[in-house]
Amino acid sequence: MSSPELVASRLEELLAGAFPETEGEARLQGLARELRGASMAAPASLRQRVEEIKPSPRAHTPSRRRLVAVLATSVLLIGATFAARTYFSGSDQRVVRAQAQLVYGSSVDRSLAPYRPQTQNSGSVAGEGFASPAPAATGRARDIDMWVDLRVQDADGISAASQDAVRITRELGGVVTSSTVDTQGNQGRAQLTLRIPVGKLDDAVFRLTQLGTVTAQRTNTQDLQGPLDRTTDRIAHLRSQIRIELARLAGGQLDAAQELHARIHLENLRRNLREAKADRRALVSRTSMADLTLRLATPAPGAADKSEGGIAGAVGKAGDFLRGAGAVAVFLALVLSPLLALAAIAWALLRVRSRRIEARLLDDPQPGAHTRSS
Amino acid sequence: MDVVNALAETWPRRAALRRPFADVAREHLDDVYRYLVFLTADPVLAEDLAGETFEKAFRSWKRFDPRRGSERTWLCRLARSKALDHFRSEARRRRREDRSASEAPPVDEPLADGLSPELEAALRSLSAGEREVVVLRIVLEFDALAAARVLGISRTACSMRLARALQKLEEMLEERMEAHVVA
Repeated sequence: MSSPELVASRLEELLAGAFPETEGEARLQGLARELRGASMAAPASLRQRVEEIKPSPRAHTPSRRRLVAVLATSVLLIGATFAARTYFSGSDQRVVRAQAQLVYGSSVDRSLAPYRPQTQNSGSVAGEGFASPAPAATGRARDIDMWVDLRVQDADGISAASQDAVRITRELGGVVTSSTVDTQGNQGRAQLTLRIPVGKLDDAVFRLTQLGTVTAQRTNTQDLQGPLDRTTDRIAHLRSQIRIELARLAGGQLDAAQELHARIHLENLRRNLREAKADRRALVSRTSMADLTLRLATPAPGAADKSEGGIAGAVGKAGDFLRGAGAVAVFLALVLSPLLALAAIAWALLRVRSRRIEARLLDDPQPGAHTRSS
Repeated sequence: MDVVNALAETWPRRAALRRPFADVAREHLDDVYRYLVFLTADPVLAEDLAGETFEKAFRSWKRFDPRRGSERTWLCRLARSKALDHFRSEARRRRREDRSASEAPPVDEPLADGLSPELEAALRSLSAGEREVVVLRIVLEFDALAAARVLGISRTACSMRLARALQKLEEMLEERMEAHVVA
């Protein structure tokens, strides 16, 4: 007999009724006729059983498995939505805090001595009268200015948030350089200018941004390490020059004119040294404390009215909802896609395994002939 | 069965295309039974499985979509699924009781009336997988696509499987014929 591949194509034709061309094909058609002619009607007992099929009393209730699947899916979706909303609602505070960390480079809490200001990144710099150690190898002295705008619900919130901001500033060792609070009815504004020790800036930002909803923020940094180093070098040079002049005057080798000239030069050097020290003190002061301007405001009165009613308000609300829903959907897709991929792989592997088991079972000539159901 | 019809008609979705279940059951009962007889090579087991198949079919009737295939194909797929579930549970039971397949008692009942003893013996020698493709294509006259759907394989694979099964059947018949002549 020819190969199965050739027989397969010819077989389809023979089964469709083609005239046999060989004895083998004729035998095949005879076999098919014999098989089709065999009587295999369903027994009467089976007919009766099928006729008696009727719905069970619980036919219209959902299966337990389906209920569990629906419940599990609902819990998963609700939990994921809640997590997404919590994450996104806190993102503004995290952005501000992250920027603050980026600016000054470290979130390590360093306590500062009140009269020995330190720069965050350049190590300690002594005040007047002390030797000036070299700045730390890591980090640089920087002047940090931050502006943070917060939205507060109402005028009472403005007052309370302002008081809290002052309290927080003082707790962290900072000072309030200016404070303006203006409330009218349910509206209000406030602006506070705070100076916060650089080592406490991270904590300050975190705690202050909890007072309202962040609507804007800006950070400006200026590297002052260069000017500070130049000032320090200048002070050292001036001190060296002063020592040289004092040594000349103490040597007694100068005539009257030279001595007068040396004393005038010495006085100039001392004056320059005082100026240089003052410059350095100012630089150190700028780099040891960060300036943070906190602006508090209630929502604009028109925006509240618009959002409460009318077609425009409804459209706005719908847009907000869709934007939020879209963000949640993207979040869920990103979080769930690896899990879904794993589930798909697991399903494919299980399917392959199931097929192998099935093939093994069907290889048996009598796979189910050993038990009979009652 | 009229109550069955009435209940089946309560599902509005695709009801216009779906025939009453009772009519479908009466029309295809013999075909499903024949399929299971060939698959299991055990008429008594086939009767049990056929009954379970139609019970399951009744419960799932509202999910049947006539646009996706014929009723007979759908019923045979259910029957196959039932049979495979039975085979799997039987295999697990055998493993638990530590029995081998060779100890299975022979089934005495003939597969069908009108088959020669040689053909019947040759059919029993085929594997269940080979018999089911023979019954689908030859006895029940499924076309290649419908049979492939029941088996869950491609149309080409179905044709190949049938060709091999018939070749094997023919070889067994020749052997038995020769043995009979020698005897």
